Amino acid sequence: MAEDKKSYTDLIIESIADGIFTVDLDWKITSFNKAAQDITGLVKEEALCGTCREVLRASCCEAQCPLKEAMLSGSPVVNRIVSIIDANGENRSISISAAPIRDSSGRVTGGVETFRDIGSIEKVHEEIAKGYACQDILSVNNEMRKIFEMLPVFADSVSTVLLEGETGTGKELFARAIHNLSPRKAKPFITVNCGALPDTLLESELFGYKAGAFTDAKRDKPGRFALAEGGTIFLDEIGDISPALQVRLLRVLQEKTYDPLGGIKPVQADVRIIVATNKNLESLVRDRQFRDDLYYRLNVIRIVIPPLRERREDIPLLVDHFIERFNKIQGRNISSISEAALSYLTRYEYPGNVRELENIIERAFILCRTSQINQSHLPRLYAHELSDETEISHTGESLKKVEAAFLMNALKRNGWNRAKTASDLGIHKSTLFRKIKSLGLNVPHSRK
Amino acid sequence: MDVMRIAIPVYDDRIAAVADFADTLMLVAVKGGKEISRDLLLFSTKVIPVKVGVLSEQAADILICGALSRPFAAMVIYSGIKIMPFISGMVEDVIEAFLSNTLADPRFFMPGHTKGMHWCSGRRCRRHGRTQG
Repeated sequence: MAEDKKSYTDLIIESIADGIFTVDLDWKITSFNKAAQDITGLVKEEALCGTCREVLRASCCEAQCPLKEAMLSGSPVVNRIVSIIDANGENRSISISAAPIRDSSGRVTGGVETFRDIGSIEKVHEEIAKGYACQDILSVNNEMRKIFEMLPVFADSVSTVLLEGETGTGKELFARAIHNLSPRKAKPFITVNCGALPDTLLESELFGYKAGAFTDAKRDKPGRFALAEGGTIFLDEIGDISPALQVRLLRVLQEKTYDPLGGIKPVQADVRIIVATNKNLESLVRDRQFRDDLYYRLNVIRIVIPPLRERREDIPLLVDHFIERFNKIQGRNISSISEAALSYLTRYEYPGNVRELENIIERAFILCRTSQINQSHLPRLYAHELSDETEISHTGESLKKVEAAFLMNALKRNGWNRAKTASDLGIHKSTLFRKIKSLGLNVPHSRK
Repeated sequence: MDVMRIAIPVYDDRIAAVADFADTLMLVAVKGGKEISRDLLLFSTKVIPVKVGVLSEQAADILICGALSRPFAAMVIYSGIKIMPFISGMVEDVIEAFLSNTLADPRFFMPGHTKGMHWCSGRRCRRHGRTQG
């Protein structure tokens, strides 16, 4: 009878869509249902060998363990949102609840944790951000790292942020990262491409309108500022807005209020503003195409994102990232890119930056029918846009040789001064020393 | 003889379960198979490239850690730092095992170690194992 009851309970636990596991007083996993296996990516046999922190791998495991809290307090912990790293290295968001397990005398003998997948962070962002998340900004470049280091500081501030960078450098990713790291992260992040809409439409899009404001305005329509209330609005291509709209935007920045079209009283705006441009706003100000007072209001925190050609060391990392990404999206299994193809890619100038590289890899996925991308799958990149510093041909050379030639050129250009070269390449000195050593380069003493 | 710098994300006296979420980094300098110094550093930033930047700045040669995300693993590898992931246990035991070349003992493996090593080293193979084409 007791056996029947147990197998019945096991059956129910196995069929529940939420992940469930139990632990003993040493935090060893004692049961692990099917949903838990699906969410963590670990099979039951693996999980039963470990402790809960080794199996769940959550952001709360070390210092704020909900199970520990529930077992110590004797009360359940409900719906705590945390991140986990699953067995495939993916970052997922889950909601956790925990409760103590007691024996017949009321003594705590262990704990039970239930958790629900609220979507892999990648999946969530694919839906709401066209596939990009904070985690998608990959770089090992020194200049980029300096920006990353400042992101949490910028995120904590309420000041306007001006992002400058060529097209395709990922300005929206940075805007989103600032929002995601800020206290406003639970509120909306609204994007407006100011260059994509005619002026009159942009005004009603930003500030909304009241019923009767114009012939077809049958009812009130909230603008993007209203939709972003409490959160962040990202105004891309800010350099393209008209002088009239510049005045209205200046008012929002100065007075934190705006007037919807046809409205009779101003609306308060609690919105963090992040703007971006691929133009040089300073020169637009000089040419009187952009208001200087607005420029000074926008230019509180200025972030300049380096183009891809100035951080070539990121190209192999990004290529791998895109291969992984397209494998996942297209259900393919391309495992690598050939040395020659990669060295060809590292010599290109990328006027379209990371987006262009992504498109090149996407195109290669269409043409590639084997497990490796090679040069025949790549488009013909225009010769004048290929770096001519190295004298290495782009066929048949190993990445090591290209890297060595590239470093020697850079060192020569900087008078064999290692510190200057590291700074020029945007990498740390120790990285350069390590590369010189690993490539076995014979570097002359620097010119004094 | 060169000094090798080992970076280990830790929590108290254990290897932190997930390197991405670790707040403290232990740096152990090793020369001639012997530990010569040990430091603890703040590692609490949430921004992964900054975490990787700390490792580069400290000139770490190898990262011994628990679980970690794919972007973190990729950036560590592309920074020229070797990686020994999915390791668990007490810090002292792990360091001792590393120095005596016995860290491959399964008692130090996290659950799912094989699966993790597959995607982690798969990336490394891709980088270093390319063929002409």
